Amino acid sequence: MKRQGVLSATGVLLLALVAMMTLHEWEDRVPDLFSDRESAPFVIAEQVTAQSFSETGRLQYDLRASQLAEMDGEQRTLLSDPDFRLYDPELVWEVSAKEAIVTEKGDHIRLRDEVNARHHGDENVLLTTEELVYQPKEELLTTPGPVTLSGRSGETRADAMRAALGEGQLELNGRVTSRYEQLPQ
Amino acid sequence: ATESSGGDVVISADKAVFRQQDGFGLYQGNAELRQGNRQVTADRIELHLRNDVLHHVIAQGSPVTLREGDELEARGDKLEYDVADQRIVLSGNARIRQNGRSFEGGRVVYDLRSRNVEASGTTPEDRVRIVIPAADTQQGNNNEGARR
Repeated sequence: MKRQGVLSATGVLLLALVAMMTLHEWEDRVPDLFSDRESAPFVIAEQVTAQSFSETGRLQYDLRASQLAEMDGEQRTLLSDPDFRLYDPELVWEVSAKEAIVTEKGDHIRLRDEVNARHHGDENVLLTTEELVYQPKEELLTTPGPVTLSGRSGETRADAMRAALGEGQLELNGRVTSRYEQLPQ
Repeated sequence: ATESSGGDVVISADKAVFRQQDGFGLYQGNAELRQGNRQVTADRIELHLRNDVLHHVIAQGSPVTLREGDELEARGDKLEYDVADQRIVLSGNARIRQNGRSFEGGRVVYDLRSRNVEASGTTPEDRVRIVIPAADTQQGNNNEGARR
């Protein structure tokens, strides 16, 4: 039976939650002693790779970025070309963008420029947009601009998206258009 | 229908809400559904999916309109489309016009495969009304005469 991707966007959201928490964890690891210094990146790391393993040594996630810059006084962390992969045990989700900006101590995470969130499970959902904002405390995932959700049996486009992760509800605004592939009758 | 009325279902509206766990999607505001040459317009269109496959559509409007090429035009307060059974049920001031004939009643059922229409009243006052153009009846008589 063909599966329609658009309603499994909430699956995408679970990924975003994990991805963003990782960025949040990463932001914490930069020593606090830097946080009172004024403008300009204080710490720059190139070709960053961060991996997390379970107690049994199984890979849980893998985060790569071509650059990480900790902007001292501004409590901002910039990641260039972030690519986040979540394993369970095989690759389940992959989120990438040109840039990620972590602010408000990880409570506001903005992914920008060619944002792709792909689910490698049987759903094979792909969320594409130019900007994805995640607010962990509010469990809110939004795209201020156009977003496309495509899956094996359908595709939905909208001008903006708001997903309340806790409620498992996805709202799409602006003219919304969905195409559901139908099995021949 | 000259053009196929099967194929992908395209739905558009001013906004939409999805609840993945329930397999539910609600399109609201200038909602429209197209499938081949079949077009539904409504205030809101509700989708129900099973295993992510579209299996039931409920449209409500003032009224909901359904058009299928030049052959069929229908309206009602509510339209239910059972995708698997390929059946449309119109209810509430329901009317279907098909090839010049019109069927009105509280409830009108249109079978997309057989093209059959079935009209019924839902309350004592709500009687069924069928209008068959004179030309059709004349043609019927001619055929009858020719067979004797």
